[in-house]
Amino acid sequence: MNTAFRTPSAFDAFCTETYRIMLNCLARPGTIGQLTQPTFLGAPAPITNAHGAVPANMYALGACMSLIDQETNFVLGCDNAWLLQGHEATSWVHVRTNARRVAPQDAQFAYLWDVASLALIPQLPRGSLTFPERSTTVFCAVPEISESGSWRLRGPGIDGSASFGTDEKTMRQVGFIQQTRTQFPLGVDVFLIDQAGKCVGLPRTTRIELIAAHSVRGG
Amino acid sequence: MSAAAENIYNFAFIDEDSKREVRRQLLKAIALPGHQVPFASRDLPIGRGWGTGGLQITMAIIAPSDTLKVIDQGDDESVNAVNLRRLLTRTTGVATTTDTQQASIIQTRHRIPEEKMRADQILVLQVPMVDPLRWVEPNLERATVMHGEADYGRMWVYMYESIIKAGDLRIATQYPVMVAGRYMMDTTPIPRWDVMRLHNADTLFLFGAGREKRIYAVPPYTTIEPLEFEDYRFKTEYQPNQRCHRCGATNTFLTGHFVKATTQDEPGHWVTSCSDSSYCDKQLVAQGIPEHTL
Repeated sequence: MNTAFRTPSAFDAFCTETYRIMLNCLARPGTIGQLTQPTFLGAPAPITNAHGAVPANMYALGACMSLIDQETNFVLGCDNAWLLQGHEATSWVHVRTNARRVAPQDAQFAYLWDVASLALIPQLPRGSLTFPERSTTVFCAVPEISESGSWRLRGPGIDGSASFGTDEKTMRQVGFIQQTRTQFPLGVDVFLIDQAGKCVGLPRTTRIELIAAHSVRGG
Repeated sequence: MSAAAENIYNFAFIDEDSKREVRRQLLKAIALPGHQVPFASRDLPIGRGWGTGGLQITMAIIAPSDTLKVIDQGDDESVNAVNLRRLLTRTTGVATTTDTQQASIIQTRHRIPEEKMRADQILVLQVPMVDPLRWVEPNLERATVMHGEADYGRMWVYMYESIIKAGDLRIATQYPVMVAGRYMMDTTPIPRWDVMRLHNADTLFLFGAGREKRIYAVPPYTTIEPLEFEDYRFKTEYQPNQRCHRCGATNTFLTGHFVKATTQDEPGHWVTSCSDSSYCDKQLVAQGIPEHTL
């Protein structure tokens, strides 16, 4: 059959590929997806704070940027504080996506530079009973995600229970994600993405427990 | 005309911003199983109500590596299926198949394929009517509040009245179900036969209503409970003596068609056959009938 379409641009092809991985990760919580890095986008300058110069995780920021455009808005968080309108990184995302930076309580998308910023989640909207979809989707860069570990998940999309592992630092912040699961259908949907592009989706339907390390080995 | 001039469409027809709109709302729909998420439904070269919701979902998720199957009432060759498949292949160049097992994305109107679908497949359903509460509350704003409050009492009264008037649950299609114990969802796109195939399935189900501008989803391994009473149970269309006249299957969803009289001795009559034409053909091939004669 005759075809009549243009070859997608690098960014458009990246968006489609990334989306299918995110779709699968969100539909099957606990499944680890492998994202690709949009190297052609470059990266915003690392943010310097008490921990030194922290670069953005471009797997995670790229995944967030693949979903936003002039119709939507976003907010960036780093070191447990929101980056302001005039911040270099905020402008970097804005000029590449046309999405607007808004106050956290109005944000549709949030990219969190580090796991310390998961503590900002309570400031994000969870939707209303009539419009529970008017809530934030969070992309958080984490140090490490692995196949097995202490995170045990239950809920729609999971056959019985599922598990995966992260580093200690991320585990200590789990409470901020668990808090968004207490008022279903209100809530916040979270993607955790590590430095190698491993991605886990945690929709608001997923109930999370941390199982002590010894019981994981034992069972 | 030069080759470049013919390549006038974006990959998968709709532009990237429209895809992103559908993609964002699909993620919300998965996080809220059974909840109807409004989306900015775009104009397509196909009339609204002819599958534009399902089509926009397929266009938003399809990648060059996909293998696509499109069915209408289970049939790969009916008008709606052929037209939608042609639009999608002209604007994506993806491989197509009629074999349920071979497809990575199946777009469908009114059926879930007979063969069990796998975890690596996605079923996209075209939805004509979105809200199960439409029967009892035609006002959209009030129905939205009822969903928000999980206020489904009037629907139960409707079910009860159906029994009082007709002696049984007289709901042919559009059977209402509860999804993950929270949202009531309309199963308009499928017959009662297929309703329980949504329950704890391996596959992701995405529903799109282009005319009503709503998207919803049933993730894999999600509970689906049809509305029923202890003494009046949900029933499928199954008949004990049912049989496909082509392949002889007794456990499939059937459609009827009229066979015209050929001679004066043989009058016209009704026959029933599998609505899933791909499944029926496979059964015939398995029985030793050469594929090219089908």
